[in-house]
Amino acid sequence: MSMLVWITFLPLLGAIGIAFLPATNTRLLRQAALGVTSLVAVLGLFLWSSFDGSIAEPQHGFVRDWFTVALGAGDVPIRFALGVDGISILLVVLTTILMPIVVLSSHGHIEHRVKEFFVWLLVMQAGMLGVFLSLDLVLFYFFWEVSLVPLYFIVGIWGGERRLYATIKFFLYTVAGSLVMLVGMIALIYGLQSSDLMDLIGRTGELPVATQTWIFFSFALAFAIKVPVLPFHTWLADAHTEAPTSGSVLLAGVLLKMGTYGLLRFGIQLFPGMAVSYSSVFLVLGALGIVYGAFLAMAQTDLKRLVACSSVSHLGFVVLGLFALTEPGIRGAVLQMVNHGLSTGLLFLLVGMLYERTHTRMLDRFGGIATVMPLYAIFFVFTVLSSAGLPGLNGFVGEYMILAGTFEASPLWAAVGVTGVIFGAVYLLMATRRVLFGALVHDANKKLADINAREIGIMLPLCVLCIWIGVQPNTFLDKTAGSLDALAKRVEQERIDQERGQAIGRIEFDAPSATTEGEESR
Amino acid sequence: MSQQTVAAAFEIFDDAASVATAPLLTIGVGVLLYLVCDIVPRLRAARGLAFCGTILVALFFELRILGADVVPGLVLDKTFHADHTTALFGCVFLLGTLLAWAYSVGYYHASKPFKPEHDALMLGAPAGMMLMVGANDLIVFFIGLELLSLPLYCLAAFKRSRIESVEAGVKYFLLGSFASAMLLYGSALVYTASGTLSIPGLLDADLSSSTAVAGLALIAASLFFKVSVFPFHMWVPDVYQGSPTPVTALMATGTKAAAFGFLVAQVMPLLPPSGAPIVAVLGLVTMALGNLGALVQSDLKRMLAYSGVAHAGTLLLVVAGGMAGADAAGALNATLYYMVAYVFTATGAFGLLALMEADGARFTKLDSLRGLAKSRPGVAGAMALFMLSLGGIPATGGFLGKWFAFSVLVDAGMIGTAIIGALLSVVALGYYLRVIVVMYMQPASDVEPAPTTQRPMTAGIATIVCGVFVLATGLLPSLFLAPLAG
Amino acid sequence: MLSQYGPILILIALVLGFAAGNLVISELLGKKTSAIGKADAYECGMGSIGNARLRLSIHFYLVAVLFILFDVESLLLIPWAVSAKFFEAQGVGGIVFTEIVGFVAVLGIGLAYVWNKGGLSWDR
Repeated sequence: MSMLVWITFLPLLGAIGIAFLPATNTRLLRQAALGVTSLVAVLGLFLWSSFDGSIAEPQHGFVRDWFTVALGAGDVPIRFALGVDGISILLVVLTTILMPIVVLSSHGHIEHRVKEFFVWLLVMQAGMLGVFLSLDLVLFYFFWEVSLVPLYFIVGIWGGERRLYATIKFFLYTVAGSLVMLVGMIALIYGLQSSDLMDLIGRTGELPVATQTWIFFSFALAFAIKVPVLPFHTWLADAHTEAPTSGSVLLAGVLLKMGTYGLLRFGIQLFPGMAVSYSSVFLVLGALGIVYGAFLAMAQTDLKRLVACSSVSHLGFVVLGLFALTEPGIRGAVLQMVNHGLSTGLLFLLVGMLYERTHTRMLDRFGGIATVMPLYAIFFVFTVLSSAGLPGLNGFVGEYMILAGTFEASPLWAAVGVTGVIFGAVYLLMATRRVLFGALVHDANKKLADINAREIGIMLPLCVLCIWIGVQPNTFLDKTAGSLDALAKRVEQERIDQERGQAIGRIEFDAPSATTEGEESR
Repeated sequence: MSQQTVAAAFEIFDDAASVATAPLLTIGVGVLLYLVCDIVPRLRAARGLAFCGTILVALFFELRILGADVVPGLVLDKTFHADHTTALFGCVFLLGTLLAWAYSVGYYHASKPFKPEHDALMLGAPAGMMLMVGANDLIVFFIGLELLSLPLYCLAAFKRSRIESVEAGVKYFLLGSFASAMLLYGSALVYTASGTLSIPGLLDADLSSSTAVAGLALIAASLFFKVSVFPFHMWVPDVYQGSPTPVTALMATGTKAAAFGFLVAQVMPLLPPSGAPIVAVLGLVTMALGNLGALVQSDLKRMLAYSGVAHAGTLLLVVAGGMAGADAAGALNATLYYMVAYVFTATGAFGLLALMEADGARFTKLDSLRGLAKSRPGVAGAMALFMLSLGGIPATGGFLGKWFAFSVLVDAGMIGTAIIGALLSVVALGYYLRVIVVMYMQPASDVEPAPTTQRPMTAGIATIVCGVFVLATGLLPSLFLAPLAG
Repeated sequence: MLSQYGPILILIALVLGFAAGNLVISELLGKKTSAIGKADAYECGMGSIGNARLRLSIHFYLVAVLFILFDVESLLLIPWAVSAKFFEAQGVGGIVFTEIVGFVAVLGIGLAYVWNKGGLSWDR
């Protein structure tokens, strides 16, 4: 059995186990959930250490036959294929590490129906890990939709006042996209008689260009809704605002990355030709998302909604970097996915801690918090600076690489993106001033307790990672190097081919399939 | 009559025929046995055993066909067809009937004296379904249809104390017999034009004359009526809502499965490719009407009725795909898979409603489910699972059913239809999710407390079986696809 | 070819002519009187009382349905009885007899069921 199978299904086993524990003993439930997620995190670290960043192909492969679909021209085996490569390794490890922190952070605000919460949380972890690890289209779609349901419950049961509206909106938006993707996926499987991702990569060029185009856009639509890219961003503000803190952390930290991961894996890696042809569309949407998200954030009076809108802006950077289609752009974008998970996760944790104490998120109900909660203020300022991209912290590295990469491809949209950095600093620092500094005007805020050891313990590992990425990004970039270099070269080749006016994707790439990988690891 | 023809008449019922008709005969004997058990006082306690035993023996015979390498094929002078597909359909019918029966235990309070008649009628229904799916002759199909419909007419009106139930019975009977009459008239016209009623015979016959076309149109109309396709879907909400809920479960799943099974397994080669666009549009309109109708319902039972219309629309899309040139085996598998998943999901959903409705019809109101997750976590959990399956979320059979259905459309090159269909099923998720929202995310209201009656064990077992099958069809599709591939 | 139907045609004409002729003759020759009794449904006996559209007991319908059911089903015995000798001559008499016994047994179970449920007793 591959380690990946354990990583994916251990949370599921944990969820089943927790379902049998007594519902009243919340202490035991919390410990059990923490135990399971910690175990998965340890496995994640093992995976990290045994992962060779210089190899382009998926590692730790695991393949089993699942079922066979009889199609017109022959039988297509749908396989249970897992594997990890440079595109997914960071996100997998991020997911495993973030989970114990989410479990710990639920302490303050998940007081009723604790058992259900942890069951859903663990099911969701299995779903998210499955999305990043699956190397089969059907399996990917399977996990993709499975990971929707838990968040639907988490927002709907433990969320804020408008939780029902937010959760249904979130679900329907995402499902609308993914069902269109389903049709595209079926067409792809039909067209090429395979659902093996590694086999399909490099073969998509065999399809007629018109077919490729609509399939590409059906995929892109689903991922663009998930990210969310500009016109589809409205569900995010609602879902983020209404979700409980731990849900928001997960949403920002991992779930949105499913969208950007999908754009990279199924947009760029699977359809390099289409990505080259239509990159400008995404550059425009990404750049506009950066600026529009920043303006939205500036206009918010609700601290949590502000952070949610900042997500739109930050993910605009990721989209911009991905579709710059240059090596630094793509690598920066992958790193920025992690950065956003860390920084925005921290921000949501901080907002949650404040909310638990004051029961409000309105900016005008704060002010001068730094005088009563000095430790909190330290973490808050640190996180804001990390999010705004202060050199030496994680945000800077990602944003710099993305902007450098974009500049190669399109100086104009790089310039628009740079303004986003400035606006980002503006709204984040404005929020900091209104929350932490100034006079302590509200009496209710005068007796606030500072953050305790548990809360510091939750945030500290994330802060360490922020500094680590800021100071020594190569630790992380090296792991992605092999896959992303190969991908960038392929896209470059595609671009050259297109410029020469040759037919799209005639060149066969020598990508060994995941089957052989699986044989080796066993 | 010469010696030879008499001998030939007896040779019709050969070994293959006996294998093919064994399940049908079992049910016939079983119904008699059940009635005997009912009239002999000492055997009355064994009625439940007679019911389950009959179903299980018939199931055994179906499984024997399913497991055999050599299938009977066309038997009884080429009027009845038995192969792996019809056997799998048969198993689903039998299990569906057993489940509906399990939910009916303890459902009827006022009309309890007639429960044995209810069971006898219900036991007869799967014979009609199996005859329909295997029919290779329009007359055999008609007999199957009547064998299924007549029990259902009676069963629909079985909750005699409720005016809605009587209304449902009368409505279903009047409209249903109208549909049967159309089928007969259509068959007569087809016979006039072609001189044959057997499906293989019709394949060779020239059906281009206006008489034949009119006949085929009438047959199609009667089939559309039975499976509730636009524009013949109007009766569905009233009848489904008025009928006793376990009967609704059987009606919604069995009739649909049998009629679509016949359409796809036996008459698909007869359908002209030129009709595909019309059928696709009918399917989409049916989906839209079903989903939009369901969206505005405040009664869960009526909502599920509309959802049944929408599912019929999806299946009609598969038929359209098959007509437009998709792989015939693929279309058949898709229909079968969709139907298997739907039978278990919808039976479970209606069955849980029956559980709650036993305390009073008002408990099918959506609002009465508030806070159900707290008061009856098991029921709420199972209902949530069925809703997700109806909505087609992965890990449930509904997803793979939908996946196969869209595959057929893509295979036929009907991409636009597939995308519109996919978007319409997003609308469907809107109301399926609402049920989950009410159960899990809204506190119990004081006005309409959720029902708390303890129900018989059979219903619990039935729910578990439905849940297991919903998950099994979602996770281990090879279990159900493997017998078909052989 | 049609000529062989000639006698039948003549017969039909005669029958119709006789019936029509009687009506015409009585209309022409008969003495016409009108009285209340003549407009009544019955010309003799007591004058009618009440409405003819009575509500009948549901038992009548039940008996009628049961009669039709068993009557029509027993009809199947006639073709068997007619050709029983023929089947015997063909060597399949035993099988056909067994089948018909089975059929009668099914009817018997039906009758027993109806009897047991009180379908045959008038005042239940």
